[in-house]
Amino acid sequence: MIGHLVRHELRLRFLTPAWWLLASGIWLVCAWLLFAQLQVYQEIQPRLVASGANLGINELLVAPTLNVLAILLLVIAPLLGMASLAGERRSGRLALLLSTPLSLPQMLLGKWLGLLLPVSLIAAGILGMLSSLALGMQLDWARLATAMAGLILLSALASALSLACSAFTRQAAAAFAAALTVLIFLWLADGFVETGSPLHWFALSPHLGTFLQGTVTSDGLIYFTTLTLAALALAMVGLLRERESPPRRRLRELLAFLMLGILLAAAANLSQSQRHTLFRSAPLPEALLETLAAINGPITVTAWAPDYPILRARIEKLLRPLREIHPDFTLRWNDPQREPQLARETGITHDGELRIEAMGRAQRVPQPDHASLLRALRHLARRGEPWIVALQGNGEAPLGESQQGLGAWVRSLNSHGFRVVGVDAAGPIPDNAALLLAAAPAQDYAQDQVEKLKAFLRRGGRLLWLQEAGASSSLANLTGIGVLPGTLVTSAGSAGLSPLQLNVPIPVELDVPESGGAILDRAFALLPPEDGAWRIHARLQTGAHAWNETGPLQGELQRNPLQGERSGPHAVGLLIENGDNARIAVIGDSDLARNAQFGGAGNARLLLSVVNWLTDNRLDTRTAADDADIDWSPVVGISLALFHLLVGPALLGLAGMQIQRRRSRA
Amino acid sequence: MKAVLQAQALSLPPRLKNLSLRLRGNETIGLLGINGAGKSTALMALAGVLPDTQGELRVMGETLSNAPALRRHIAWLPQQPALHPDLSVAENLAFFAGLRLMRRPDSRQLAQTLERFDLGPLRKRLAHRLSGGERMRLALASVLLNEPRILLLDEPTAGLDPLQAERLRGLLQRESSERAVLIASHLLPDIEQLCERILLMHAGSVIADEPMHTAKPRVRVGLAHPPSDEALLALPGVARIVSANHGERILELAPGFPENLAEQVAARGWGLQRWEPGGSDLLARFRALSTGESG
Repeated sequence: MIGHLVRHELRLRFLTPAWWLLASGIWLVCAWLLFAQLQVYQEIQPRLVASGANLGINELLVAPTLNVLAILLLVIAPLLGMASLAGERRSGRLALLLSTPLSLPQMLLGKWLGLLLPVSLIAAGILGMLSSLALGMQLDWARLATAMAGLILLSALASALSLACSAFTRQAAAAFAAALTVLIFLWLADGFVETGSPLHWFALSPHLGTFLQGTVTSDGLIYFTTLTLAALALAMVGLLRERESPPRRRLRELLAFLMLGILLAAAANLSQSQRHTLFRSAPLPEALLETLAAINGPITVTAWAPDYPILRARIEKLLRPLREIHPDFTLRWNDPQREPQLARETGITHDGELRIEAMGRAQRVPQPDHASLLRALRHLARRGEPWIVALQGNGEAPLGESQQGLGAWVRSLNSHGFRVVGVDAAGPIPDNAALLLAAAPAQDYAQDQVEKLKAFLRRGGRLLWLQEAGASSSLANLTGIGVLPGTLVTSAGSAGLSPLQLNVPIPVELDVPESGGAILDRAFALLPPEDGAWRIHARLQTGAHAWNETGPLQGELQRNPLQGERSGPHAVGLLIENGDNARIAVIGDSDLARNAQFGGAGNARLLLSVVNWLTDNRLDTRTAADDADIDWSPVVGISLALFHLLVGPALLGLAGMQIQRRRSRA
Repeated sequence: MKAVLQAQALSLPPRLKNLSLRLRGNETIGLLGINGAGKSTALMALAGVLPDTQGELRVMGETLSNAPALRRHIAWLPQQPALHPDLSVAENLAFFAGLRLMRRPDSRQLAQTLERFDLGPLRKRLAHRLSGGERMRLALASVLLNEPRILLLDEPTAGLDPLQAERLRGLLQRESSERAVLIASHLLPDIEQLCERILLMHAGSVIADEPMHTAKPRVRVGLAHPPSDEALLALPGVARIVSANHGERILELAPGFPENLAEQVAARGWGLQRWEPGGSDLLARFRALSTGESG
């Protein structure tokens, strides 16, 4: 029976020109917006890549179009649904419908589905338009899918609200105005209802926003389901007046309102207390998740940014995980150009600066990037920064700026949220040491120092050892990793490299986005531990042409097997882990971390990814968005623009008019 | 015979006061009253679409509010059939009939029904392009496709031209043979031609309930050589001369008047030019009752 009513409603929509003309108009508006933005995007794309803004077409083209589509749906649903019941009542058909055996829930469901499908079809059409960008762009399909789910849920809610408003009046225009008012109130509630207030749960845009950004949360599903059911229940109350006798009607109305109140209160409470992420199109950094879990209470971020779309989109993207994960997150925008006095008082020095407040404290984030954000959040969570403790006192490489120093690497680690601290190896290991660094110790560590390091590893500690000529006994004692005598050389030198320099590919297990290798100079070959407790996670290997030269490193070098010189491939880096969750990375060279060579080839990437692996830090180290490029020919671009701006909308409009003409001739 | 529709003290003041009636099997009842007498309200109350109505309404012996499925037995047709103007005849029929059948009617059923109500050639025409009579036939087809036991009609011929009205009355006469019919109308020909019993309504109340056969039929006679009134009254079955105008006389006939009365008049050599049966004393009685009640 519901199917019969739905078919009828669809026939009414699709056999009259209104839906076709509306769909045509929406297509045109969205296409115009999309291609206008595309033009701007093409102009600014090189600057975006250069600035490392990590924003691509999904952020700057697809997301704004989806936002506009969502706002249009808030108008379309009431427009198509305003006459659903009010018009039927006015024409006298409602009484005729009520004289049939059709039950009220059947009538309501039929009307609702008959409205939801055409509205959703418009949303699907626009998503289809966006999908056509895949001809030359890298679309985030998972995010498009969650956006579609969100837009269908929005359509369901808007359709139900339109029906509810239509159920209480004979005037279709009044129903339209009422439904639009309620929907706009829900949409804007995020802006004027205080975040902590229970009323804030009713705000539509944060719930829809998570779907549009590629995440499905239990909170969002509960929100849309509950409000849709509530709106349908309200519509039912409106219809009860038409069929039920007064005593029975009053009882049912009372029950309906009671259930409605309980449902809304329970849903608001449940969705806030039991918030789960059910699907996410892009994984979140583990380190951020852990830090956020340690922050109780509300997090308020004030972003000092002028109304520049790119800057704001960048900040939005940066803060998205916080919005998704933290149950009580608020983002406020302040324009330093409009409020210069306040900006000066707050200590804001440049655009894009963030101020985060949580747990009664505040932190500044000078740059809107992951590392700075994470560092600030860790401070707020009182967990401190993850220290990298560089052992000193046994001839290790200095942390300074000399040619042999590690200064450049230390600065790079700082910018990624770490703090490198030099600590005397004879002293205690700090509690917040995330990683111990033994950077080319010249002498073996004393036995008690080795025992201290072993105890640290037994507690699941992490160690990065850069091996040079000395301290190989300590290394073997600690890790079971041996060092072959001699220096690694190769007969297959590549352009610009001497036989002493090895170009080593970065292992795929380290998940470094860019391909390429690191350059090791005078490296040592490593022998894997024989202790079965250690599992090799990844290894850096030389090519087959490398061997461990035991003779003097001058003149023409040749492998001499009689001297124990073995042919490659040799391991120059070993990443091992054991059942205690301890992790050790040993690299048979320290030059790649020293100022003289740190910036060369993929050295920085290799070291950062090794540190990330050792510290479980999965921060995104990419500097450009994957989806930044547009790869289509001018013909494809022009054809798409013509189709979406002209042919498609025109075809839809003509189809509507043709239907009208054919039917009126019958 | 068992009542298929039984109303007990239906009230919706001030539009409807204490309406009680029993509608049996194939009975056709006329609900007669001036505009505003409460006829439409009475029909809506009997169709169960005025939930604020007090009193009891039983369909096939069961209370309607307790058994909504019984609504399929009641076909209610308002004075202005609310069809979908932008849908065709066939589409309107399929939709409204489907609601009563609780499923989509099959194409054979639809085709038969369209033929039955002379709508076959109009099946693709949009409803807003139909004439009043065609619209009423379509509305009638929509509510009768599922063969309901009760048909409630509100002013079915109002606004139709005489030919359309006559055609619709013929259709209703045919359809009323298989179900109980209640026709609300202020048009006497509808009542006289279709009904076996009449209820006179005034100011929301039924003021008289009489069998139709008590109404005295009338005939309009045109005579070239009209005789005296006595000669006319001497004819068997002639009860009264209602009016005389030159050669034209309107005669009121007694119940059971001879079927060959026209032949008897012709045989008298009075130059019979016209013999038009039609009308009755219903209007006079209606006027008297209404005036009496109100006065």
